[in-house]
Amino acid sequence: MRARGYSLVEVVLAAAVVAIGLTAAAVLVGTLMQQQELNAASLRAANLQEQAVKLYRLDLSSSAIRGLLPEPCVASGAPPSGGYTLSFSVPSSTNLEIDGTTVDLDRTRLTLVYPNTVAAGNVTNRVDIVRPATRVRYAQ
Amino acid sequence: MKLKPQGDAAAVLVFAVLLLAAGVFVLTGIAQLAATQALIGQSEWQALDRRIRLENSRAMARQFMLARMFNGVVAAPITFVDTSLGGFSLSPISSTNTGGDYWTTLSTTNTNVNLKINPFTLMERGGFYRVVVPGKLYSDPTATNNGVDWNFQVRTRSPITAGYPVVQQLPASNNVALLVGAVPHIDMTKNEQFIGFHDMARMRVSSVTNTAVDATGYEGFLDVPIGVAAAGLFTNVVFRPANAQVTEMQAFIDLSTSDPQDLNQVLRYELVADTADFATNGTNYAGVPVTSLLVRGTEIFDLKPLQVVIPKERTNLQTIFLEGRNPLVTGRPVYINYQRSAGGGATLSMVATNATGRWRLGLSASHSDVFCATTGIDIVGGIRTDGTISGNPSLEQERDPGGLDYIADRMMWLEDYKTP
Repeated sequence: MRARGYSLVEVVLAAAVVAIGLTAAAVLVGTLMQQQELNAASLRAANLQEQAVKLYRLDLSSSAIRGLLPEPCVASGAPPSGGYTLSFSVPSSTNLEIDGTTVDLDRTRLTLVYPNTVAAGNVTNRVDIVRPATRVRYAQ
Repeated sequence: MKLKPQGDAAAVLVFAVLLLAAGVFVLTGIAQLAATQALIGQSEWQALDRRIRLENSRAMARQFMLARMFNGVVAAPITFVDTSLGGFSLSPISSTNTGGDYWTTLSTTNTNVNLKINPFTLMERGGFYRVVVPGKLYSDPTATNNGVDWNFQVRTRSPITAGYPVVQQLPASNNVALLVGAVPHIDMTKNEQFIGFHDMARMRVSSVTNTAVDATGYEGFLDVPIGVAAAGLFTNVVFRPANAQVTEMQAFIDLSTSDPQDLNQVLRYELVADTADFATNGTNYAGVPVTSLLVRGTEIFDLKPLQVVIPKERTNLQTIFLEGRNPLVTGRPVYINYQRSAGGGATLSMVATNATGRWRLGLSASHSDVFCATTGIDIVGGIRTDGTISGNPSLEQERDPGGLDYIADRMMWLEDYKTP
């Protein structure tokens, strides 16, 4: 008896199943890589912003902070390639008052802009930070 | 051999199903990794936000302390809420002050009180502390415990109390008068910013006299005429309360004309007139005449330490005489702050005359070298200068906690910590 092979339909169906699986895997891997890239950029940005906050609390000026950070930073406009836009502004604030007396408190809004790695446009994150007005002054 | 195509097909089918199941399993794991990765990114921003809010809270509390802890006014509870700081809120800051004696002396028995860690060694226990802000400072609505309690302390200590008999420090800079969280530092050119001096001295007063001279009713430690037990010995020498520079209270007292007064309430002098000599007599016996400028500690067992501030205008002062003895912690240790104008380059001599035994003394000399002709006595305390130290001083660490807090530096530093 001659051995029976697979019919064309069976082979096509099997190939379709395998193709669907491989396609899904490829899409998933692609998404995963995009997500990884997005997360890496996000974590770098978060780290950079936190370092900027710490430097601000050390009484450094905005230009000095931008100069100290490891990635290229600009004060305004679009972030440069591989870099960030790091701006400082004074928000309209509610002052800290004690018995009706305003306590001197430095306050700023730190805005970080970095490119969106998976879509068009940029990602913006703002934080409001304060530091004691009475502090060690560093020459700059 | 007879083939069984049905069996082969089934085997292939089973293999395909197993392969598919394995693929689904692997893909599920990969999908879970991707989801976890996304979650990590999001969590990082949440953590950053909370850390920033926490540090905002700390910054505000420190400023609160700096603004309020040295003016003698009990801090009133405040409420501060600012949603623009990411939901950060500052619920009432309160003070634990229950009386007028704000500051508590550190001692060997209470160092660990209210502290979860003990940053002091045995030799560093001199100083003062105050639990300043025990209220709930930081309320985080996303935190599981919905709020973190922070306590803050103001402390002060001196390098001398840290066990360094000789401290040579760099000359003071022009723009740093207050160091927070750093090595205590005296900038004698910045007296007006030398915070904490009179406030902390005030708490050492055992009582306040009712004989007020200052019409403004300043509540400081010294508002009575001061003099010495032997008026007339001195000419062209004027003492004034050292806190006058802070309060603008001009209470000059000419020792050549003032009646003798009890010095018991006098804690701090500022030398106003130029004089070549300054002598401090540590003997426990009153009425010993001396021919040089004298600050006499009489029956000093209940007296508090004496601070003498000699500002830079008193450039003629070249010698400090140590006379008699000053051996007791319960006596009157003398803490002298001396300065010359920057670049003066002169030498301050410390001379022991008719002095024996141990002498409790802390000397901070700014813009000046120090020469010690103190043979025969042991200085218990220390010398601190931005110049050189010469001579043959016999220096001994202050080991008694009671003596340590007497010579504790009036510069302060802040410490904050979180309660569990």
